[in-house]
Amino acid sequence: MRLLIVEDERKTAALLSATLIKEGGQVTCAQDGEAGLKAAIGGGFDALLVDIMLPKLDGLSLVRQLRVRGDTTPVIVLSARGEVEQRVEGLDAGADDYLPKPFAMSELMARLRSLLRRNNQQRPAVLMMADLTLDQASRETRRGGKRIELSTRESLLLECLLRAEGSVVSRRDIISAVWEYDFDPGTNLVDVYVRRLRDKIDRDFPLALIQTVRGLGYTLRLPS
Amino acid sequence: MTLRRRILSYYSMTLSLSLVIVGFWSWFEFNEQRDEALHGGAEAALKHDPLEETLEIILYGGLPAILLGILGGGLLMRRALRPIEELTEALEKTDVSNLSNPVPRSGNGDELDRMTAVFNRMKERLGLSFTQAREFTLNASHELKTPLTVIHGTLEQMATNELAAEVDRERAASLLEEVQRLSSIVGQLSFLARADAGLLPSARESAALDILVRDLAEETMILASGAGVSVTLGECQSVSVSGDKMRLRQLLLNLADNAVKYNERGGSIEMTLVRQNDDAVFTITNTGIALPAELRSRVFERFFRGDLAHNSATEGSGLGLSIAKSIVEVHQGVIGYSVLPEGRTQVVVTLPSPR
Repeated sequence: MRLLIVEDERKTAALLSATLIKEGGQVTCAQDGEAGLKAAIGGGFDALLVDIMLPKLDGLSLVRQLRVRGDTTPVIVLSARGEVEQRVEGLDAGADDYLPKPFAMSELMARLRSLLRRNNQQRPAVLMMADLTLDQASRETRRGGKRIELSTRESLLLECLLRAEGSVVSRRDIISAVWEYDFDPGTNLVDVYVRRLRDKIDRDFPLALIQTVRGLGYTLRLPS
Repeated sequence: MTLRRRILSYYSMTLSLSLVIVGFWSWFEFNEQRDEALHGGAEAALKHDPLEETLEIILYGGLPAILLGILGGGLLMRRALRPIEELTEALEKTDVSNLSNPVPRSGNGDELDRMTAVFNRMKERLGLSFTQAREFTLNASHELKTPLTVIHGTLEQMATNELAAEVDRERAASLLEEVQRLSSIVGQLSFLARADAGLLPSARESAALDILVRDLAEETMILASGAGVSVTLGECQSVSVSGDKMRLRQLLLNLADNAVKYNERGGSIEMTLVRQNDDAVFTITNTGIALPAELRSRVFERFFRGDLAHNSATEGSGLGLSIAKSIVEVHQGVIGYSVLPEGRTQVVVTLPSPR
């Protein structure tokens, strides 16, 4: 996975590259918009992470110029200015995803994974983890062959955890995947639903699949 | 011309006019007497009683002069005082929304014109400090976001570092939770700052409020079940409002969350949605310890939390109701908070829903 990070704030750039290298990526950094554009045109990247506020050339113009040239490399735009209107602006400029600061590294990795997967056009019909399966078309859920009845939200929550393939999913990502809220609801909605899902898929089985990762979120995997 | 001189000149004009009328009538009476004396001799002139003549002068000269004085004087005074009235009206209309529009000046340099100028300068300074306060919050929340990302990311690395001791990872995880709380407060502040600056996107779609309320009731039942609170949805009439669905959801969830948080075990929450003329009225009522009367007017203030909430383990930043209020205002609605006689707390949201 070759990645280009265009970010002028050194600490953020260092943190991003350290995280991505740890996840097995090859990282190139650019500190301003012009250098970023030049590097991006040079090509060979699987994805670009671009901050919006950049010296010389702002992130949105960078993406626009890249798209005008016919370059379709997936781009995730990062911004502190934030929220809804900038998200729309970013997507209009041709970015594939938008991540408002402050974000968690696990959230960034989740976006990258789904972006690269989208590019590979892989979409398994049945999601599975150990003896748990979820058929995406019929929404049928089974564990150890036994059918489990889930409500729509519970099923979406399970899908969101299964898609992460063992990685941690943050509360914010769960909220946007299950409820499609673009805001922080300030409630313990996620925790309440995770508890309900646990009751249905873990309680009657010897191995609990839903793990709480304190401070980070939830993950679905076999206990280590 | 100064105001004092203008009033003085109007006053003298009215007075002179009255004198002219009285003078004219006296001249007429004296002339008549002289004519009669000339033609009919002294006897004819003596026929006239001086008292009667004086009364005639007062009646035909003085009364019109008084009437004219009252009418004309009143009219002139009103003209002289009109600028004061205009200025008073402008002062009454001044609020946060129109600080940048100056009051029009007459430009004639009188006391009122000078006062208008002073008032406009004051308005300008007030507007400036409002903008500064707003921009400060907006910029502060933006400036905090980058360092928060770095802190969060670094703590994530520490919390997941398998080489570190368990106790250190636990510490990092505990700090992560605090950073998330901080991030959430910064996000809420930035939301409020953007709402204040009129930057909230105004997606004006027709939103079926009854569907949103039904969804909310279902969600609230699940949220409240753990807290041992029952939720009932009373009357829910089909009403649509024009606005942003996402913000309306946020508003409703905010209110429901409050109703759950400040409730008690075994308590209840009741919601209704009805149409009242051209308004949609959503009411949410909950049991739980009511806020003391003297604090009730402050519930929509930022960071306000009743002492009760501070003492209990209730989480929350105290920004939820401020956010609810700003969303209601973006939708040209009204939000009210009250405590019913039997001690239940009630929040009523009224949103325009023209038929």
